[in-house]
Amino acid sequence: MSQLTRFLERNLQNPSLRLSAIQIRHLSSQAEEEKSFDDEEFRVLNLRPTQVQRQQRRVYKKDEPQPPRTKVMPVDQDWPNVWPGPRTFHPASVPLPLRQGFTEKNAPPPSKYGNAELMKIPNFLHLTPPAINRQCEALKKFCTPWPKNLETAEKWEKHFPVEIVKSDYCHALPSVRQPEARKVSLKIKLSNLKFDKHSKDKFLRLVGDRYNHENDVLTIQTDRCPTKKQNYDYAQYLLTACYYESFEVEDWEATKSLADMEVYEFEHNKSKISTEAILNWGSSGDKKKVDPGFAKSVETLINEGENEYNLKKYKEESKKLLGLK
Amino acid sequence: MSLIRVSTTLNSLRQSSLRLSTVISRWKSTEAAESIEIPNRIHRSPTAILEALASTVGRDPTAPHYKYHDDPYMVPNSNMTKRTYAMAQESGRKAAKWIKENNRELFMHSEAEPPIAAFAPEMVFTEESEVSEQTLKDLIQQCEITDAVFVYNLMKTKGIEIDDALKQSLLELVCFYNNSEPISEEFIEERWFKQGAANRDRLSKSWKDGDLAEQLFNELPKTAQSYSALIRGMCKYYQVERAYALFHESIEKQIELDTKTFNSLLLVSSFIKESGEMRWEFCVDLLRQMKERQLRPDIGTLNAALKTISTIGHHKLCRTGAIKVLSEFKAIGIEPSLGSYCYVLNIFCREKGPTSHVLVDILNEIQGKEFQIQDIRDTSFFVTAMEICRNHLHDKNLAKKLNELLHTGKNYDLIGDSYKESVYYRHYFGLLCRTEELETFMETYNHLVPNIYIPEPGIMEEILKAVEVNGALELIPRLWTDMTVFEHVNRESLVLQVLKIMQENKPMLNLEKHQGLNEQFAKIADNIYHKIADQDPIKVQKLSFSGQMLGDIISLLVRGAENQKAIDVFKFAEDHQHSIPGTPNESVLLELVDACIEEKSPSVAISCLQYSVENNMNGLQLADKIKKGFTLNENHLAKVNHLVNEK
Amino acid sequence: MILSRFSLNKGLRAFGGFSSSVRNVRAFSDDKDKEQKLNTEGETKDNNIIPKPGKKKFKKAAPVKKEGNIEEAIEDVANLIQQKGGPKKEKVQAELLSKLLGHINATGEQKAPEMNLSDLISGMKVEAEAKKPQSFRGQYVRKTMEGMKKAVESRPRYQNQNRRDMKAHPNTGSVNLFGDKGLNLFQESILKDVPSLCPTWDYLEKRDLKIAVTHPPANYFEEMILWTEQGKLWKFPINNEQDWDSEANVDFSEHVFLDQHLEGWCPTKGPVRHFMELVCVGLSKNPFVTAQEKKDHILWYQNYFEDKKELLEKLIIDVSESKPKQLDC
Repeated sequence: MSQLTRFLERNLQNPSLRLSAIQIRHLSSQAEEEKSFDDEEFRVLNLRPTQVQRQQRRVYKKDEPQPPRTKVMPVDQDWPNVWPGPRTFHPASVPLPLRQGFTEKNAPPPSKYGNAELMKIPNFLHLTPPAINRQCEALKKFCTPWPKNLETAEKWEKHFPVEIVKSDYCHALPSVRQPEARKVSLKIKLSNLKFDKHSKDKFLRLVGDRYNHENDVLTIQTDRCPTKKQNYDYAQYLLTACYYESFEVEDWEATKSLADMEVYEFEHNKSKISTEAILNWGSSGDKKKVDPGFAKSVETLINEGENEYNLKKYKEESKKLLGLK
Repeated sequence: MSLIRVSTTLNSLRQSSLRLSTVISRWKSTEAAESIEIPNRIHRSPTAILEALASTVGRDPTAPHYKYHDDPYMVPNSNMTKRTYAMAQESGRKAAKWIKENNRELFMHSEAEPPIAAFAPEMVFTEESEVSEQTLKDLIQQCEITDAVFVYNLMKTKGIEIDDALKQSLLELVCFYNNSEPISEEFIEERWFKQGAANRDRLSKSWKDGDLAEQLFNELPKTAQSYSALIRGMCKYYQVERAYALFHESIEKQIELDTKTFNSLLLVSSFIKESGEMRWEFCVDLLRQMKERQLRPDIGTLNAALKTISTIGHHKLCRTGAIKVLSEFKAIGIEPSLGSYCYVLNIFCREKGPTSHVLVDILNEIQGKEFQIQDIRDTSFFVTAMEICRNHLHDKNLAKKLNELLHTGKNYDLIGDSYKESVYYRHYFGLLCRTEELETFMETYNHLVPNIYIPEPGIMEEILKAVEVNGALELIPRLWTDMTVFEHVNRESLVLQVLKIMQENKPMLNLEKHQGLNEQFAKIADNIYHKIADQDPIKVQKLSFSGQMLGDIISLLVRGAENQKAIDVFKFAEDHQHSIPGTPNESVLLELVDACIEEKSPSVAISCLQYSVENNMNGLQLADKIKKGFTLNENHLAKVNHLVNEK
Repeated sequence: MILSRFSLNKGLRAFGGFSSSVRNVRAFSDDKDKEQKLNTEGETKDNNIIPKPGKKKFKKAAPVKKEGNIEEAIEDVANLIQQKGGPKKEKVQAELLSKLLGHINATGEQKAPEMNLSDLISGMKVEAEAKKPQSFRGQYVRKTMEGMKKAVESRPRYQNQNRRDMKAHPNTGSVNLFGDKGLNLFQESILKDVPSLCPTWDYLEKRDLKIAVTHPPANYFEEMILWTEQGKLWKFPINNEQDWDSEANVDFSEHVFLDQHLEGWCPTKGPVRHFMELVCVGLSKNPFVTAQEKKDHILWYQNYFEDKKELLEKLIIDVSESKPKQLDC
């Protein structure tokens, strides 16, 4: 009973409280009826239905949110613990008074709360120098020390003449496959391989464009096979095959003619004949041999192309040959 | 041998793919002039680097757990909300999974390469599915019991041959899970919040008799494997008599069982034999049998033996037994795991037995070591140990040592689930607030609350007690806010306690930290009053006023110079004096009269007097005060005298 | 802490009288200490319970006025320290008391368990209610006692805990967990390792254990670890050929040297051979087709040409016949 009395009293005291209990509604409707009879006037006809008192939905009193935790963060806290990974900027977690954005006249830039600009840009709060330090320290255990006796590039080349280049690609796609990743390239300086004259010539012909004359590097790039490993094996195979093949002498190689020659050799060319003819002009008997220096200068001039030095040398040699001063 | 030098080349355009690493490797030439030793590449698993990086990240005390959304509006601040939010997330995941399963045709595309099994709809087996032995094998591997059983039956109806090894495998699967589907591996939150309910059910026999496991057993030839599988399963689900019968059967048939089967029998030996003596004898007998078969015992044996011993009632026998077993196993080289220590603690530190400081020795033994989980009972160690520190030994240094151990390396994984974690911290807090100085305790409090642990109402009471003992009144407003946030304010006892503390201990205004406390106390009292007064009337569990409570509130309001509010409350009390049990103290009324004097409302003062007289309190003092304080007109004076003389 | 200890010592030294009483107490406690040590040694092995140095001990100890002296002395010392700008009085008092009583209780091995000031005083006040000056501390203590009494009365179910919680149990002696010689059952020599009979069971158990310690990820890296294990994230270092098992085991020769498939059925000369060699060259340069598909492609041609054999023969003969005429033309 006391509960009901308390109930009623409270409700009478607070007329704003909507009444949801059936009993109370009953009482209130009675009160209304009584009122209408008291008035002694025409009862008003309501064609439109009276607005039914909407049942008060339970108002869930939401708790006040806690203050942003930047207020309780100690100044000497460990920042890498707070922001370990890449994350969108959040103003309640970053204790810095940042401002960014378009400023209207005489207004400060917008603060960090509700600031889309700050959220859009990528932040590097997870990569502060102490964090990087720590992560590097943690990763050191996966690293091995650099081997001794391999400090300079020359040493590398001396001990490890073959260079293999493989690549992996990172991209933002659901599929990890990347066709570019299958390419393997093999580089080697030909000075590391033993050739004789014939094999070198043959090898260079076999290899063709892949040889770079300027720095004596042979590059074999393979991409015929789907996987890296297959391409790597193939490149190795190619190198081996070409090398050994260059030592093989085929029958038809004997048909190498002057037009096939890759270098100019004084011995086999017309120049020799002409020069000897000039030297021995009019004389019979002893055939003077051409000065080897002259031969060489002609060879270099034609093989290497014309440049100051070669021309000068040729000039001198010719003068010497012809006995001019 | 090749030397690897990794160099990264980043492409400037973000759209195109990044050339992540160009691996340049060189072949060694055939001449090895100087000796060059190239160290082997350190093999690392796919997650090794991530684990190394994860180890650099410590705990941020101000942040909620990572799984919660880090926004002031969305951080859970009470135990209920923590659970609700985490389970809400999990239920979202479940809903997504449900949608995926129900709309399979929409999710059949898999553009990911390598394909992600987790995103594809699950295999559904119907009557027409093509099944083979391989499917059954895969299902067993993934622990899909219902599917595996279905496929098995399907294969039987279709007449496909199933070889014995596969049947054996299926038998083991069914035995392990008692032919019921466990919670899926991916629902971590659900497991985390399981609240130990599973453990409580375990003790009753739940083995399904005559079910698929036994059918399979009958179909298979009676080998050691099938026997051991069935025995292990029955023991796990407490079908003890039949397990024991099977065990005897296997001995008669000269079938060799292995260590783990013996372990499972040892685990349930407390059900086989009744008295402590017999249990010990049985235990030793089983161990002897193992020795005869030359079976090497393992950590499971040790834990099972210790569990049996812990069920022995007589404390001397169980203590000696435990030590014997421990020494024996140590001699063979089996180190006790945390689970064994847990049992040891159970044995030595019983509530009704004499106290024992074995925990000190244990901690000395394992200090600073990192543990891996070896036995399912390992997870109870920290909880049990902390409970013993609190209830049995009351030693906070030990508790601190234990806490340190918990935080070394990856030992925190062994805390078990959320229930065990909260119990652990509950004991820790309970111990600390009684034995440690309040300042250091508050440091720990600030560190752990509210993100790692939220105190239960019981612990809150203890903290309030400690605060009272130490007279640290300045903490009361803070604790009150915490209590409101943690939703403790529905507890009548807590509210009463807070009011009592505030009322009985007047803040010393000369102390700096007590400045402004009166006002804060008044605010709190006001809060309480409105909270109770404005409660939803239909609510079932609601707090109701008592006279004492109202008295406290009034007194606090007066001290905080909120005289008008105090008068309101008094009026409320007066109006409802028939429905409110108890009355405020006399001192309260005196204070109230002082307030009335300040407010210059003699009528209220007189109603005060009336109230006190009606409730058989000593009104003379009040009357004197009123007369002195006010210049009363005749009516009032007459009334006062009337009331006083009425007595 | 260092500061407080330093000032504590200073305080102690400043009070000669106090120190003498402390010394007395200490001397007394040393005897008790020795007694207890003997007890400990004699009884450790059997792990019988050593008599607790509890309240009883205090009763046997020095008469009350000595303890009263100590209390006053401690308060004075604490006051002095506070005047000199040291730490709080209560803290100092607590420390002093714990230091004193630590000697009485320690077994010498472990650290002395710390006790609450209020508990101590309650213990000491067993005999007589010594009249102390109304100090700030005393008032609180008295209030606490009243409060605690009330609390005990109003909540009887907590009574046991209250009574117990008042002081830390002093050490009942260490337990040598591995001291016994054991059951003498297992010897290393005779044991043999038998493999487990139920491998699936073991696998399931391991999985269960692993799940038991898997907690919700606590930071970004742990989440990534979880996802990598579930297969949702690529494995680092990124390998563009991750999990591409079908091609991993195929040798390059099967992609490049496709002439081997021509053996046996393809003629060594002629347009068919020509064509097939072109097919082989083309296929060998194609990295997007698997080796098996290439082989199938070539063998399809075998079937195809087999079917069209007659037509081919006719055509080839015609061509070879017509060729000289063309040349002539």
